[in-house]
Amino acid sequence: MRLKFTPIAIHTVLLTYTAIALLPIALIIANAFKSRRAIFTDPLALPGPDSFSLRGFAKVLAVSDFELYFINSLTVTLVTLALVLLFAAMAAWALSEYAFRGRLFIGLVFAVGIMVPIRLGTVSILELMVALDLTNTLTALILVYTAQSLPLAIFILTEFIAQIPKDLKDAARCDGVSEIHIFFAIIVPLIRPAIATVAIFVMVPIWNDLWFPLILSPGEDTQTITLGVQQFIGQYVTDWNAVLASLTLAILPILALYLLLSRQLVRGLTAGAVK
Amino acid sequence: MPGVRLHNVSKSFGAEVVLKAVSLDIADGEFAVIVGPSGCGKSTLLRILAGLEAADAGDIEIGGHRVNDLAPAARHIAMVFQSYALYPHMNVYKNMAFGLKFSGLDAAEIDLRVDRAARMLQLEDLLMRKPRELSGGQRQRTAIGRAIVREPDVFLFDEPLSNLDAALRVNTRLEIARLHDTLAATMIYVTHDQIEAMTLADRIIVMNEGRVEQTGTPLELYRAPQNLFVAGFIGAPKMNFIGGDAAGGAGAETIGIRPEHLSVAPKGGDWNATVIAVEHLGSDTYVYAETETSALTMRNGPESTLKSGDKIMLEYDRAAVHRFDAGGQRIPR
Amino acid sequence: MTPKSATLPLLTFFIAPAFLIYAVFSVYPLISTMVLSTYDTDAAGGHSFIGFGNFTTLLTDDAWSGPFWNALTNNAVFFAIHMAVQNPVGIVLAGLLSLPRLRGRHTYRTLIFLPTMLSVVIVGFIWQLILSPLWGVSEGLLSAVGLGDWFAPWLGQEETALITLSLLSVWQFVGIPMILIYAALLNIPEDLTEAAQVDGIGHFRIFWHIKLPLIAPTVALVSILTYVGNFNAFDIVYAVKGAIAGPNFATDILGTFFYRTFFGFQLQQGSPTMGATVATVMFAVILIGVMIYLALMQRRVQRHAF
Repeated sequence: MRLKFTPIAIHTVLLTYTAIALLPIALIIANAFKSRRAIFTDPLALPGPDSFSLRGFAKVLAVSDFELYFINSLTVTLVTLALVLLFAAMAAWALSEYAFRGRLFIGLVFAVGIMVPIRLGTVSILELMVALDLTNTLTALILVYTAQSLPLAIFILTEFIAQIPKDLKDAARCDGVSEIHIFFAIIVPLIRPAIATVAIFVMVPIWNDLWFPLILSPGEDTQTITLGVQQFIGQYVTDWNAVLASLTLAILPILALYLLLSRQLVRGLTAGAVK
Repeated sequence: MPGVRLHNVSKSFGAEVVLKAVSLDIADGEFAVIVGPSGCGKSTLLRILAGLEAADAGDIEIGGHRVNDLAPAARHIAMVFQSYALYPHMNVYKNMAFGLKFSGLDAAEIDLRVDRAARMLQLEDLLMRKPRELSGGQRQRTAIGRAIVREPDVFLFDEPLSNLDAALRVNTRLEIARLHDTLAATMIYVTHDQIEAMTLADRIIVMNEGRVEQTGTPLELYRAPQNLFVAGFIGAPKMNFIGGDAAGGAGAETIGIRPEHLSVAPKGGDWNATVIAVEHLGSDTYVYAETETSALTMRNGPESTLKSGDKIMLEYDRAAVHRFDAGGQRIPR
Repeated sequence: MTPKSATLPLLTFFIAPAFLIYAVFSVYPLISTMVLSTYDTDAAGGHSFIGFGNFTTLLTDDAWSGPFWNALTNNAVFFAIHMAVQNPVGIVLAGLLSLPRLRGRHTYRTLIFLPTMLSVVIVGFIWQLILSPLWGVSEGLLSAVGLGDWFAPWLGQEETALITLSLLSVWQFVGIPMILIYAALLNIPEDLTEAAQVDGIGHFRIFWHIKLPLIAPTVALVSILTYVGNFNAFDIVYAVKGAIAGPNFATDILGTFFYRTFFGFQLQQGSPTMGATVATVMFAVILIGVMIYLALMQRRVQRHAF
């Protein structure tokens, strides 16, 4: 038998899978805007004039501190991203540009971190944070996430830095530019395209993580959005309006960001993958 | 007096020996062209001069001072790279001014120097453009401008024309020659192209396999190549090398005859030959012919009517023969 | 100063920040955890060295070995389902998306990848609601296509809970093999496949005989990423079934087992040392997978060494 790839067959398969990927999400969002009765009587309908309700959102915002969770997540993610970009770029530059004793060793130590999940060190991380008096702080999360993200970021940035022509650095050296200025004034501007790639690999896992917020900073003031939603749903599990609304509130920011940046995101992912 | 002197400079990359005890003297204000085939060590030599590579052994002097241990910027040199090496995120002005900012010059002086260089190179209208908005020639001029503003004692050029198309190459060549006249600075220029070497140089340094084969003015090299390598490298089309009886008769292992010193004999002549190809260049005609023992190239006038397959007799100008011994060295007249 | 060699202060300036944070908050805890796994916790909370005693307890003691092997087996099933479903589906989708002259490929790619961007926790809750018999959405949908009788509270039944959870995870992460393999397929020079097309070979055969062997390294990469991710998973089980990984530990995997061992649950006291022991075993499990991968990929890795 010879399989035929007619355009119709291909599009049917792809459309079917796209529906499988999107329908569950759409279902949650659509029902979040409906009254409790409508959620149960006609779950597949879109919210209409009769069924429209924002009760769930009102409840969520009234009883939990969603804005705070959101700001916490944003703070942790962005501060970590900034630290990782700066420190990883500096280390990647030094590791790829200079010959020195111990270079291979340091490179290998970082490489191990790409594959070994930092989660396995949780017992000691918690002890360390207790000792440093950092439990229930965003700082604890930022430090752990920075450590978690550095190895892969260094790996990606090393690939980028390797593509910068040697002549450019030599020209700067002839111009009397110091090594530190070469890095900040020439290398940093030139690796800007890599930032998108690194940002995805760094930000998405941090934004979505449950483990470390749960263990290191479960306090009411330091909950991230993922932990906040998890706790909220555990508490109000029978209030369907509120549960659907909280899920929607967690999904929408990511959804908006993703659709806004999807081109760059996917390009970044594929660029990282090709290496 | 910012002349340049290299004494017994050697360099290896791992097991590969790139420079074998090279010594050179380049006078103040001289335009020296280092020419040789790729892999002969000429670019490494330039990079060692610039301070971008360290020599394994030997001394490098600029203006009478040993500079082995000085950083590139402290050597009073400026380098123009083959790839231009323009900073892609800076406009023409910033590309030229960037290095000056680190040399402690005040803003007014930087402005003055960039303006002067821009005028010299007709870059005034392009100062705000980024490198990607420039043509190849404009990029090349910016790269030269970046060297000029440093007001260096020595200019280093690393194959600066090889990324340009043929027409632009001639223009830029003239421009570099004019620049040398204007600035009266020492210039060291590396190329694999013997035509660039012949047209630009006060003095040519021919390199091969990590050694200097010969130095001299373009005409000295053309008229009296010291060995087979230089004889074959300088001049286009290549010199014809002939061994056997003809060489023996002249008291040599090999004799060399430039294509312009071969001609069709009206009668008699030295060799029976068959024309195998003819190239009409307009001003000249290159005739490729085969004798019983060798393939020869002859340079004829534009009016040559020879064609492939013609049987001809060739003769050569006895006064213009170069003689080489068994070691490939020139035998003086 | 010569280029390419650099002074110690300069190297310190560039490398120290990254290395310090990484060493203190990643390398040190990992090593310290392994060291801790050779200690015992006494009633007062003090630690005493006992060598490999904790590992013996974990692997042979009745109170420990049952749950441990249960979690490890479940985790293996979890991984097997990912390999059997997620990666083949990902390859098929990538293969279709990379077909020449396909319209709308960017849109498909973007939309199918969307669930991967969401938090595992959110995905867990989404499906918990959708599969809930209380809401009845799934039952309604299945009835509409005549499969109403087929519906069961899959997440609540011991026999189906693990498979269902695994498939939820597959649903979320299918985008990763898809995008990685898609990128690898785009990297195959077109003249290779065009030559085959000129010879009259169909798309399916081209894919099977020419493209698939060429993207084998990417498939291996996807497999090891899946392996590490699966044996380190926690969130999906915790979000849907809680730390006790019900029903009756049917969905317990190493991550949840580790969490319970460390923090305790119900009547069992949490133990840092036993927690560290479980983490060390997880480390060993992951290391074995990575070693196999590296052995297979040795030549590629050498090319990318720092």
